[in-house]
Amino acid sequence: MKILRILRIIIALAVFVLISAQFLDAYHKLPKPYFMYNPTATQFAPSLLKMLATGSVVAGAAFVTFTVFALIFGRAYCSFFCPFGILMDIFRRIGKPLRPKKGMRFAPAHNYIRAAFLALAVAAIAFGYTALLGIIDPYSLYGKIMGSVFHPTIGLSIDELGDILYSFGAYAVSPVDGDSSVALSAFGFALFILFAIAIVSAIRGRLYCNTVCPVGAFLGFLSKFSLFKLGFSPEKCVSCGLCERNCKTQCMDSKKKTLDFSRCVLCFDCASKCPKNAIKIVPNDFLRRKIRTDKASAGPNAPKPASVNAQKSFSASRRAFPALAVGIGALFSSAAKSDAQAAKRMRLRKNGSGEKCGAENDVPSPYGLKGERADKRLCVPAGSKSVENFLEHCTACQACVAACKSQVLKPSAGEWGLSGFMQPFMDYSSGFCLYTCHSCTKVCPTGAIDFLTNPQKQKVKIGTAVFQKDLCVVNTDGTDCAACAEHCPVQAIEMVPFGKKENSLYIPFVHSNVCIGCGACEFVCPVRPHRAIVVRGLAEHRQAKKFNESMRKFIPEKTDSPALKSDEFPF
Amino acid sequence: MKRRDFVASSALGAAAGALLPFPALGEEKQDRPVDMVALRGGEPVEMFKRGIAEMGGMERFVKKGYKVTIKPNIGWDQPPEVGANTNPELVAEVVKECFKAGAKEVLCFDHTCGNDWDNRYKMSGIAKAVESAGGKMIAGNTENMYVPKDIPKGVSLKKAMVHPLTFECDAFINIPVLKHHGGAKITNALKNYMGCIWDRQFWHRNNLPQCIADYATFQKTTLTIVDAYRVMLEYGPRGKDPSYAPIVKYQILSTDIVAADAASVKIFESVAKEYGKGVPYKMSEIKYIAAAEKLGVGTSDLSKLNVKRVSMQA
Repeated sequence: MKILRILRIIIALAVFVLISAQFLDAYHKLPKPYFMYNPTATQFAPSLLKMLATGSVVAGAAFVTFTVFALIFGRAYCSFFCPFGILMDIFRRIGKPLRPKKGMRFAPAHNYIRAAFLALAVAAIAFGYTALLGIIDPYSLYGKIMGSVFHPTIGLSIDELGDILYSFGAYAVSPVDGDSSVALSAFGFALFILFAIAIVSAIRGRLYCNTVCPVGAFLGFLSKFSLFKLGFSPEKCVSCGLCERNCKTQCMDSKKKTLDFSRCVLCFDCASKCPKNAIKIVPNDFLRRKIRTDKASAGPNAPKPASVNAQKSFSASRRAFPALAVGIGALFSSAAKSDAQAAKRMRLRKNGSGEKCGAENDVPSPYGLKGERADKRLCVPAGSKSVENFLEHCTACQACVAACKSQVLKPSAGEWGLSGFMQPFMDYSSGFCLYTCHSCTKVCPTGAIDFLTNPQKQKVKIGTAVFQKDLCVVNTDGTDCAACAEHCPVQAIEMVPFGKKENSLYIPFVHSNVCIGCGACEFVCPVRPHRAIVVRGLAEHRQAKKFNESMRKFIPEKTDSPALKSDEFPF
Repeated sequence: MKRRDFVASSALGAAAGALLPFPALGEEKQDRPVDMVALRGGEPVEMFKRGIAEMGGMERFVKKGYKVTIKPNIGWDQPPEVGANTNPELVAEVVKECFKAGAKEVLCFDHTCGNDWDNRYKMSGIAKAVESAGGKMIAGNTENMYVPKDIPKGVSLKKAMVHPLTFECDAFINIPVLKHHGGAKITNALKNYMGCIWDRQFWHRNNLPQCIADYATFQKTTLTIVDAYRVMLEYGPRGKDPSYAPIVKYQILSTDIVAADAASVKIFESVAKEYGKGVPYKMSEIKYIAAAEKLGVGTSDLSKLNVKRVSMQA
């Protein structure tokens, strides 16, 4: 049993380091593995969402694997793969002095609270309020802590340290890309979660896992039926209480020699501590009964198995059935809903809003930004297909925010409304979506942002630049600018002659169908308070047209003249 | 031109001349050192080797123990073929020559046009070129690095946040690339200085050509090396694809930054006409040249300078 505990610690640390590294990579130098090679693909709730979003069972491998595993051996996810749980274990280890010397005691289960949070999570998935799921799902909470507390803190510290060294003429520390700061409310919320979980886990261990956590509740109910469980060997156990004192979930009662397996996170601490080797992997009651009756059928006096344990587990499983039924029903309804959306999208395309449609027919994103121009609309990253799809699948785990090289993706404070708290948005005031980067499409574990190759991503139109001539400095001041045109990666902004010829002025003209909505023009536009060019995000993404010479508004006069001789200079 | 203006501008010109390491005026053309070398027809490295020899060797500009800053254009995430950034081979050769002349260290930086500065350093090929030659790449992408400075002679630009490497050095070598620019029409040496400061948007907002000229009154330049090996004629300054940046094999070395720009405009005009692409802009359309000349930064009249023209035909 000791070896299982060591194995658990090794796997847990490996998972923890790999996932955390994705968030803490301030210089964005680590390779970004995608799809099943991403360490976040091991996460339970995200993989379920991805399975629902893509309809691919492979994408839901983690969900399927851990669900099936729970039916065989219990909640392996919680101790081996859940980064939030591993973080709690770390806090629990550090916080040992905070606990009474005699350790933890058995505590009764809070099954109604668990069922309520599970129902909430299922409802959140079914009705598309995944941001709500994100504030109870363990991985998403862990991501929020890493992405909104540690990632910005590390980035800003590196920048600050670099600046201090610069002022002494030392150039040892280079700054990170872009601006790492996040909204105060997002930072505050994540910091609150961090402190809360640190205190709770130092004092009461895995309390969260057996009250709030919907994954813990789901896998816990399933593990009621698991073929094998941890249990006491009553003949060996002397009720010394060592296991109970060391149990982080408070699920062991050493006096009664019972173990509430629905709350056990399979850490194997008890088994490796037990001096009598009294804690064993045992078949569940049903299996045991079957074995016994098989044995007993040889003899006439088969003993009837009737233990307190078995009754308790049965009563709990009676509660589990309705919850499970609700869960499965919700999954189906959610799948049906996304099918309906896909159908809606396809219908739209048939009606001509697909390939042929011009920019003027695009439906703008319904989300604006306070204090900005009314025609500015929020965008979602390429790969998320539509604003709706993005908001319905994103649990705000901040993986994309941490991966964004330009740091244009920021956790929202209220930009998506309260129900979308911390779901990322493209903040074009702090950067723009880099033409050569597709990191966010690689790291998203929930299917809110689908993987796109770089050439694919470069063609996706997520918004349209809207130019307002009466604000432009070329018009108001009569001076050269072209900041927007010079940053446009797809030649969607063309500078065309403006005003009298002798003034030699050029003003932007936007080729709307070419524009991909990267926001470079908005980011660099110098006009304040309202910028002369802003991006109107699209409700539904589509393909941008590639710029070609025939689209040009301004064609310079051809002034062919013979080439200079090889030793002639033009001056 | 009014007489008073003429007196003022020539006094400024003389003052600027006095600041140069070698007096540019008042000597016989033949005896005085070369102000500008224009080359054509060679590869970037061989043109530079020849050019710097004609200028009197790198030792003329870089003395033993100097801390040298080089400022190529590394604004864009484009490969060298597009002509959006300075030719990396040329930059590497400049670094090598600086060390050969006895430089203690050679530092290279640019305030790139995007948050992914390290990616741009890499994609342009300049990071590898500089580091392989022994130089150092320095970032320029957080505001706190920049130091507030007054621009006393500035008309539109009175203050700027300036990268410390632009003034904390013994020699400053400007290595722009000649190309089209949507706003300034042509970007070259003077315009390349926009990578030395933090708040470029202020410039765009407050008469861009004037700000470009204003900053040049502040920035001391030891040597300007214009990379016109590829000249991007359209879709500048970011560039579209290599077909808009024909290889025309020019290079200019100059102690006078305004003269370097003036000569480059002529090259652009001639190349644009030859290839039938882009607009062959006239000198008067490149407003910052006249503005800089008016502020006494340099002269656009090449006849006043000792210019050497070298054609390198194999």
